[in-house]
Amino acid sequence: MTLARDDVGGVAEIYLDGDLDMQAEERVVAEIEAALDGLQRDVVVDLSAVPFLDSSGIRALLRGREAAQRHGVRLCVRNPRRIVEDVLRITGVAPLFGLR
Amino acid sequence: MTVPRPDAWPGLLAELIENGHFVGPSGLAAIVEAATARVGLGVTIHLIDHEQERLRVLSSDPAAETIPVHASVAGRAFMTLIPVPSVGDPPRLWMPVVNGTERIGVLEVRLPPGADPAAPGTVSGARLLAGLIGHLITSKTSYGDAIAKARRSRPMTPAAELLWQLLPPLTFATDHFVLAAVLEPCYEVGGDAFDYTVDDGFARFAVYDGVGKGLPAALATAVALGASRASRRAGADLPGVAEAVDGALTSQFTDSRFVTAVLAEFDLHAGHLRYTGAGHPPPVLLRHGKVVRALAGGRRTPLGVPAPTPVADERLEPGDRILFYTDGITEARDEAGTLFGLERLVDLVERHAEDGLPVAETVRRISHAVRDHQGGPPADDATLLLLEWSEDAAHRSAP
Repeated sequence: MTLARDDVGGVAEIYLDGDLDMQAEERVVAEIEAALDGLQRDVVVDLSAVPFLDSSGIRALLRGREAAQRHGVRLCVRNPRRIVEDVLRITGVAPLFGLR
Repeated sequence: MTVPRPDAWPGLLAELIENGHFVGPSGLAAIVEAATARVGLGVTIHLIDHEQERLRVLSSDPAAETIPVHASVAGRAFMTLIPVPSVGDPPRLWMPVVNGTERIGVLEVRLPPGADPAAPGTVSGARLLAGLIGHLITSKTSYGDAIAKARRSRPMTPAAELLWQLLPPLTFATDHFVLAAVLEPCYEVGGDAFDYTVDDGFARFAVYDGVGKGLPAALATAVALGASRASRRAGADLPGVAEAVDGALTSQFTDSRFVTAVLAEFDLHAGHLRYTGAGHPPPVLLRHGKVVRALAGGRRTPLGVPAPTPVADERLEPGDRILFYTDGITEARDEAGTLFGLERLVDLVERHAEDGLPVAETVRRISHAVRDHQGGPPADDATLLLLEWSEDAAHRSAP
């Protein structure tokens, strides 16, 4: 998993590249928390380069969402691949991350 | 020649009941051997190990022989729940041992030379003896470690030790309903679990999968099991149970720990199923050997991520099967990366059901097929729970 962050127009964009699983969980949460640090802005997690998401990956996103809520902002995901979007929908968490 | 004499069995059972008051797990084999020797029988208790691969003698000898289930007459008795006589010196009768319909092992009954191991009086007597021994083993297990040790081929992780103590037996049946489960890797299991109760014409059951692995996952699942049972016993309905688990998980853990689950209740007379899917793979409804549909209604977020709990309805027909599973089954991969997959899973359920096997044997074989597919014990916890609403399946579930 490699991570990159971009700040665009008051939104923090986090780009993930690699499997979002137990190995990646802590780093992803840390990156989201760093993006929230001291700044009042929404966070978007871009999943276009994530080929695999498991329950620990979902937990990472949920922890990020909790952190965003503590800061009074929103966390959304975007561009999930089909297989990743299926996991988000089957587990019922897709709407929590702004996926309709 | 019928040995022992048919009238010897009641006295034998009475002696075991009397002597059974004063033994623990490590003394059980000795009182059985002593009592049966007095009527001319040699008896050995073979227990099934947790992985349901080998039968292991109940004794304190760690080097005691083991018998492979898949390639032995003892194993045939275990798999089919049908007593197997074997002519030889000595003649033997291999009698399945169950508690209720939970398969515990096999009783090896050695008869005097020349005796007929298939004599009706001998088979019926041995069935009663095995029935009593099944109850004794179950009731004595918790008073010592001897039975727990005899059933394992290697040590368990603390997470697996914790979890197994929370789970009900693998199999239960009423006269027209059978439920059987299997959980792997049995010595290292972490976050998977199943639960059920059958009361007043209703079966209530659940499959759980706690996020993560090992002890943290097992702890989350343990909290879910505790909260669901406490609320159910306080009269909660399905949404009430889900709400109680949400509350227990969010108050205990502050790190978004969750447990996916299917919670269900089944009216055993009307055939009416109600269920909720909390972030879990949907169960599959099977009828006449075909998939009718995935039970994908009643969806909500995983337990621990609070949300309203919708409940879906399904009418079952006699003979229907419902297959509950965790993703460790369908997502098991072989060396080439090929998933075990739902299609293969459903196909195996149907194939084994056609063979007329007990439901517990069907899930045992599927769990081994998953293991063989990935060339070793599952990387992720893998749980299977199969339910069949039929008198025929119930009849196949006891010796």
